[in-house]
Amino acid sequence: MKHSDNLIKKNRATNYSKIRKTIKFSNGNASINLNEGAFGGREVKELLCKIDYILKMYGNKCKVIIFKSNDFRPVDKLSYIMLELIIYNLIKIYHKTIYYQLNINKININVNGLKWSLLCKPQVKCNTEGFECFETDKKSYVSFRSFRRLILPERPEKIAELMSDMRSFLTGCNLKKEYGKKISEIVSELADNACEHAKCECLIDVDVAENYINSKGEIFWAINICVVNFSNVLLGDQVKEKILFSDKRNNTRYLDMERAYHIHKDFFDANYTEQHFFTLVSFQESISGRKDEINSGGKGLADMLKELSNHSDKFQCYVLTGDKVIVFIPEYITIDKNGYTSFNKLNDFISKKPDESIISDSNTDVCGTSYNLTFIYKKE
Amino acid sequence: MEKNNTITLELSKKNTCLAGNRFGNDIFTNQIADKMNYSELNVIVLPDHIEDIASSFIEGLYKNVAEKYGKVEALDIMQLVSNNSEAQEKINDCIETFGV
Repeated sequence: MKHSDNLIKKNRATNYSKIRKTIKFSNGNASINLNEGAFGGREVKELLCKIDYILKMYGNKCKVIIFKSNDFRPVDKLSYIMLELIIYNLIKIYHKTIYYQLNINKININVNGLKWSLLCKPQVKCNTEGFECFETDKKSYVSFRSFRRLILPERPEKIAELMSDMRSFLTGCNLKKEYGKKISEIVSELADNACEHAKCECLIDVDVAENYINSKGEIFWAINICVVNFSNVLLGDQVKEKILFSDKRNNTRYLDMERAYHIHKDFFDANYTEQHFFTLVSFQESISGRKDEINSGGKGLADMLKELSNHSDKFQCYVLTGDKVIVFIPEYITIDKNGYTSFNKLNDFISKKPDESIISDSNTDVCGTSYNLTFIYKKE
Repeated sequence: MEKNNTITLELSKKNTCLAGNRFGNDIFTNQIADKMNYSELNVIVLPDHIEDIASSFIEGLYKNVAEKYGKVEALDIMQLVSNNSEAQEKINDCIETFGV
């Protein structure tokens, strides 16, 4: 997958002496212990630092890397997909042989797709089924309740094919038709965005879990979705360009966003940055990053938010762009009097800061944009 | 009686859905643009095997006309229809909710 090697190249270690003690190297084999227990953003970063150390210190002398964990528990779908991508690049770019000894004790509903991931095979090579999806759009990896495909930007018609195939896949999982329609549209919109705005390929990974029981004892489907791209163009970059530097032809909504920017500038600090702001703007209805569009566009991401506000639960749904995170919390996905998603309790996007709980930074720079979403639908 | 200019789209039977802003725009460029008559209502007919349409496709399809003439006027110039009731319902929903 193009530019996915940036994950390794751009997340470098800063303290080699500390890392040295955590790596065992002998006879060309390097052994890394993954965190016992939760494996999330922090642990992905720690792993990348260890890999950086190994590549720097041992180079080609290291032939084999072994990952070990007696209790491997990814916190969400994106966490284990990141590990798969790291392994893929170690094999493909750095020509290492990879083994893992990952003891998976418990699979929560939001990491249900782990059952079908490459991490459940003891060893992978570049031609391992499932890895091919990181290489080509000609092969999807579809198993019982899991769907993975690479989408290339050069082929716009593939978005239609994705939506059609996703609909068939979800119907095959016995998900109610109306839910399948909505999810397949959202997935295709996110893929379309990545290909067009970020101008790069994107990886789609969807899995379906049934029999999720919420706190009220109701039974639900859980649809876990990741959409991952590696691009220098981050979410919000094009919208920023448009709002600050282009002719908005007196379009009220773009002028509103410009006004919001000048108000929010006074809120920017170490936690809430300009990049967070423009990422939030990307989700506003009828705001598009396309240069030549003022009167059209800007529906897909807003639609996704609406669906999330009605069909999510306690699981973290978020987007990571670069090293900035926006968490989608239903109580803040409300529409204010101007028709904008407020992202705050005061229900006012233009003149009020977003709630602190929805903005944060990531330990790992994902070198692009990654969505991690879980939609919950009641089982009938 | 108002005259309409009917343009029937040719789309792969492999896909039952239409999605993607760029794809919608490509379809407009390749199958509609040269056949448009701006003095009549241009009725764009989807093939019956299309069951669902993402709003992004409709945006892309209408983009050139909407940018040139305005969103409201675009709907008076070009009308997307389907004999497939599921698809027609979706078209109506998208346009009512989002305009183009």
